[in-house]
Amino acid sequence: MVKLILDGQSVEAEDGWTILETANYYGIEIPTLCHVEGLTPFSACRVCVVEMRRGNRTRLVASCSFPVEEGIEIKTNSKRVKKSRNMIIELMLASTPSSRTLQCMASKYGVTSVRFKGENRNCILCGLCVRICDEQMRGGAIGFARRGIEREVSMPFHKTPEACRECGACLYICPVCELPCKGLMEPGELCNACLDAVQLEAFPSGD
Amino acid sequence: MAGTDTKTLSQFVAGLVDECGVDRSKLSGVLHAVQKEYNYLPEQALRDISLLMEIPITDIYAVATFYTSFSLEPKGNHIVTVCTGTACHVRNSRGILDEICRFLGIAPGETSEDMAFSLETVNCLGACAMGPIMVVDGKYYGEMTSSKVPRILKIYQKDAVAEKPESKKIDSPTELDSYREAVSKERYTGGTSVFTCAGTGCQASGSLDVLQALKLELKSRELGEKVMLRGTGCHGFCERGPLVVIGPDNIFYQKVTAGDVPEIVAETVLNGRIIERLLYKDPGTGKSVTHKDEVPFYAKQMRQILGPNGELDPREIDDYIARGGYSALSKAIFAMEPEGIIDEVDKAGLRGRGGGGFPAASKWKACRKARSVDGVKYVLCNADEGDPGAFMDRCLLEGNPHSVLEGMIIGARAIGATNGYVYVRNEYPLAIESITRAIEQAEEKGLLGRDILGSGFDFSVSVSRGSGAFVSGESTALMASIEGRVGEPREKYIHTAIRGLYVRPTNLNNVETWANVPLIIREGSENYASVGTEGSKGTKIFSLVGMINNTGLVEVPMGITLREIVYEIGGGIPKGKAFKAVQTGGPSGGCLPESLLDIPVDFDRLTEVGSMMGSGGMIVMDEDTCMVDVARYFLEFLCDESCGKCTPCREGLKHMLEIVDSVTKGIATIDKLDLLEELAEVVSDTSLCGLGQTAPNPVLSTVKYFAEEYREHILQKRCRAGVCRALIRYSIDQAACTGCVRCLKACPSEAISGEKKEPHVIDQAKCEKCGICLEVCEFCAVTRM
Repeated sequence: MVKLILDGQSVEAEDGWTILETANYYGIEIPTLCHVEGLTPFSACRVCVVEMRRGNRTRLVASCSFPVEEGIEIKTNSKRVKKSRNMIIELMLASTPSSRTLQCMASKYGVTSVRFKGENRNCILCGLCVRICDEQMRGGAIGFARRGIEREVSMPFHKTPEACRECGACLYICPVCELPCKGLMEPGELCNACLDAVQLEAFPSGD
Repeated sequence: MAGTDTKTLSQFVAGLVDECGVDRSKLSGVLHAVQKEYNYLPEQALRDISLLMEIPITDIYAVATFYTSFSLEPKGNHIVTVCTGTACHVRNSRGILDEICRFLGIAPGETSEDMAFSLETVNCLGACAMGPIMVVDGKYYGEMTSSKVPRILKIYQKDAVAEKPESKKIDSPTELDSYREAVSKERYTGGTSVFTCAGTGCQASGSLDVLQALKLELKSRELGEKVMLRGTGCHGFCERGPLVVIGPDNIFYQKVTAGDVPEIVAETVLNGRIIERLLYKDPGTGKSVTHKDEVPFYAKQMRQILGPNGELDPREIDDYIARGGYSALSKAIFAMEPEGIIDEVDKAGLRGRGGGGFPAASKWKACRKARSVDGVKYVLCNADEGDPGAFMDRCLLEGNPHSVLEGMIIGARAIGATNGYVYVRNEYPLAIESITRAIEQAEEKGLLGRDILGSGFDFSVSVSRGSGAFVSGESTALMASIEGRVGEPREKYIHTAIRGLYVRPTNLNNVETWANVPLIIREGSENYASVGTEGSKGTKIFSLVGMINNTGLVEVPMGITLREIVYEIGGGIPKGKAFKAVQTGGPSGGCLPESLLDIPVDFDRLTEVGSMMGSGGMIVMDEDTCMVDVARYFLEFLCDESCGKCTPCREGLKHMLEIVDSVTKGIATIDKLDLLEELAEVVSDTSLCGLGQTAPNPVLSTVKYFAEEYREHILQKRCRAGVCRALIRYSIDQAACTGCVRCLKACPSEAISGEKKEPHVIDQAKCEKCGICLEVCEFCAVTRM
């Protein structure tokens, strides 16, 4: 067992647990996009960042993949975490406004404006489909291609490979293909319909 | 493309896989070979490889589209490459690129319709001292200007299909063999020696012609036996190349041409007389300097790592051995315990020269302690020198590969490693050739491989070739790339010292770090640590480039001030212009203003002021450099090179670029600066790997030290350096214009009109602001505002 401090509480965790697993065990919610239980952690979306103190050094780490260590101190909702998390949600909404998951997350965490130039893409490159196809379906039919801002999820040469059994797991797990309540959104547009209802003051402030 | 007619594609691929093996780490080698044979990667080839090597086609497609060295589209007969590294950028490589695009009618990355030309950009060729650089089919054209573009490309246009330009590079095995044979015969005569620099920088100014001429001249005078002639690695003073140094007195000749050779041999080699016109003239005093160590560029340096570069033939292991090479290895194996080696490196205070400055001994210790399931541990050498404007590692690998190799073997002994890789970027073909040869020679001599020097210690090294991705220099990405996967980073929450390459304990150090190791072991840690500051020991190599008189490679003791480097070694700013900034640390570093020139070169001090030591690029900028444009340049570079895995780096950098770009166009509002800073903080705080975490540095440092330039762009719509095209205009001074029609003829957008011998005018609506008119005007009539 590993002892650590989680949002001010002394807690114990199994050796090898990630911060996310530990937080979930103790009922503390950390938002995630590119992480689903049962798939290899990918640490790509960064909305699950938490503040980690080890000795005198503090830094932000991705809770989905950071294994707990003896004596570390974790804050899941500090000012620094909130600022970073909201900026990342804002960045993703700027490029992919028509995702229900993202719009709901924006309402929940209080992202009320998009200050960047908007686009209308339909993928946040979370890689869930790539991993479920490979790891759970043993398909390996889709993968990433290109890099940087041109990165995309793709089938080789944009042709359906033999390995694809059209099982639909990719569609099932995709966080972007479900439209927000108001339907298609314009670039930069925010739903924020249930901002007041959902945004909870209940989140403990870690500061 | 000789083989394509006789062999089918499938046969070619099958033969290739047969030859290379089906191990996944061979994938990039196979792809390189196909790319070289066909100029692109045909879909069928990738499908064949997938079947033969049993790698999913999805993975191969990911690799083929990730790296810039591979193309899925057929390429033209002539490949035109423009270097857009930082040093070339501050010398207007953008203008040259625009001119080529206009001339060929294609954009970067495209191929002309007649399949004659493909245009590419590369983020640094490491020939920074000769910038801006254009390369056509492997031939380097240094110090380019926009007006030279049509002249050069027309040569290739004439014979658009046939005839490759004549090759003067020593790159075929036979040529190399005969070359080596000739050189070894000329060895150890105790008399006069002639060292000619054959590094990439000097090659760009024609040093191979000089070397060839020297060889023939000495032969015709039957001096081949008596005079030791060496084509050496880089001497560092690329600005003055080609360089020839004549021993034993080290008479230093610069800007030598093949035509000077008969005179050099007749006068200096035979009679010891000095040829005045080939000597270096100190621009300050106007006096000629005869000997190498008296040249101010060299006088202030401390060349303990680079020194041997200029005196040995990198192709010859015996040259290295003759200078005491591999004595440190034998000491490490037979006179020291592995822990003792680590202690020694610890006491020497060696810190990683790749950028981060992490203490080498701590890494070694962790890796030594780590348990491996099957006893295999790896030692890696990072030669993916992607920082634009930096070329130290290239010079070391090209000029003295055995020093790097010896360091690695010593490190492996200390750590208990069994296998090693040198990961070299694809843009450095000479370095790949050099280190590969060095490995072979060391194996032949029993210094590498099984049972090293009869001690029972086994260690083998292979070369792994990068494929054009800056991010692959990041440790976990580099390891993924060696394994034949896409070179993108993963979380390092478990250190690579414990779980690295192929999930085994792995130690990665950069080229220069490894080259320091034999010195520490040979001279002892005390000696080594006597140079430097409290926290930074030894020397550091910088590539000093940009707007500076003496460009080239310099090695200085830690603790020297930036001012000494820029003004005493570098000789100050050309044409009497004012200094503006010095950029260190590449895309992860920052721009430091005049007021910080007196800080010492020291890992911690440079980080404190918002830059970093980095791998050693040092780019000097003068009053004609716009700092907002520099920030935009680095963001563009990073957007291009980000792997795109994590959100803050991929999306955040894109929006940072958008904001800075709008500043250079004069359409930003002042509140955007706050947003820019807020975004920069989040990107550095939350990105997955070092690339993203340090990416905001160039922006943050320019906003901090050159805030007034940002404000001028936004509030007054003014670019004081005259760089940002949206904010400048060209006009012709009617009184000074003689109507010579040079500008009229040269203008690519036909914006200039006027009768002969009458003053000309520029039509602002048509003007594309390329600046060619300013370049060609001999009467200073064109002005930029």
